[in-house]
Amino acid sequence: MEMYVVPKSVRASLVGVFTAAAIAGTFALSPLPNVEIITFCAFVAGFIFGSRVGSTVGALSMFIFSIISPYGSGLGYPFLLMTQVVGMSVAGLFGGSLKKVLQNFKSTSPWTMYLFGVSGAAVTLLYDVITTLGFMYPTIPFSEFPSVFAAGIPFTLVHVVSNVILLGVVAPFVVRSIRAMLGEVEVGHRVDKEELYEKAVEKMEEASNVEVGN
Amino acid sequence: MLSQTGVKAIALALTVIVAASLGAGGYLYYQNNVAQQQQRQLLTFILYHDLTHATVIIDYGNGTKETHTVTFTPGMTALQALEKVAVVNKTYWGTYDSWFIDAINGVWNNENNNGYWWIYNVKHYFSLEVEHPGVGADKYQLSGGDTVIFVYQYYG
Repeated sequence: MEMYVVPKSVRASLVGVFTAAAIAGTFALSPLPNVEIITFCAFVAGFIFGSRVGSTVGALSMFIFSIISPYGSGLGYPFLLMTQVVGMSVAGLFGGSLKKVLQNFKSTSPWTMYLFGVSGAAVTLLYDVITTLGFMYPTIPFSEFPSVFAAGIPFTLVHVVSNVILLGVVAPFVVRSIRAMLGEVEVGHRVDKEELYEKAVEKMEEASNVEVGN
Repeated sequence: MLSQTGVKAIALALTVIVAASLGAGGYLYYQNNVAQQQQRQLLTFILYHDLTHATVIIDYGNGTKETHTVTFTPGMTALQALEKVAVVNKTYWGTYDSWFIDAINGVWNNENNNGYWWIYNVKHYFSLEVEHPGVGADKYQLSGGDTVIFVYQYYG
């Protein structure tokens, strides 16, 4: 499969597109408590375009969504906001890590789908744990963590189940579609200008069946 | 990149971690629920006890205070509650069709012209304020959980 090398300039656009999709989707789903697609977008962005893009998407989307949330701005709860941002960037990092693990696997293979789903559950649980701690600090002592976390278990369950479904069922097909458009995305490739020029010349020669430079 | 075995191992490890976390969370939720239920039961018992009793406080005005709990019966007056826990000397005033408390446990109104008289106040269970009723103690009907305070106070 042809490798698509992500230029640095395009990474910013990718982050913007995924962030916008994440925020808009989460606002659309805001009537459903604890159902969001920021985790989905960050994970998919990380899986396709690498940990850097994925973690930036997660952190930026969560930051913007939290500060303009209609249910109360995260700026009033700085520690909670911090943990939310960290939690979502972990989702993107996780996606990027899985990219290397699943390099030889089709995104829609049963094991990939299962791994996506269980990763979604793990990342969501981690997010809920650290945001509970962020919510508690500094007004509630950490010794009360078990009872505070236990009180929110039904919401945690909804969050975990929704992300397992999104990541385990929907994400593999989204990844397949993007790969079909772009090919396999190479991450971390140092672009050699000579190499790029030679590739461009090759493609032009193929297209016009004319040798350039001779 | 990993082989299928490696991928399966990672998937299994993550499954175990997620299952353990959900199990721990479920256990905590159950414990929290049980604790909350016990707390609610305890509060119900306390409330039942408090609302089926009334408290009578006798303040002698010299730092001595007696607190008594009596079983509340519907229609019980402040005077009836006092008579369950103290020896009361009283006079009937026909003009007002009311009993007037002269002494509680041998402490008389305006004894040796000292200017001290018995008055009473009531505090309801769900209220923070102390009420000074405008009727005699034999006319004031208590509610469950009320505290009636008889104070030996200087009036001149």
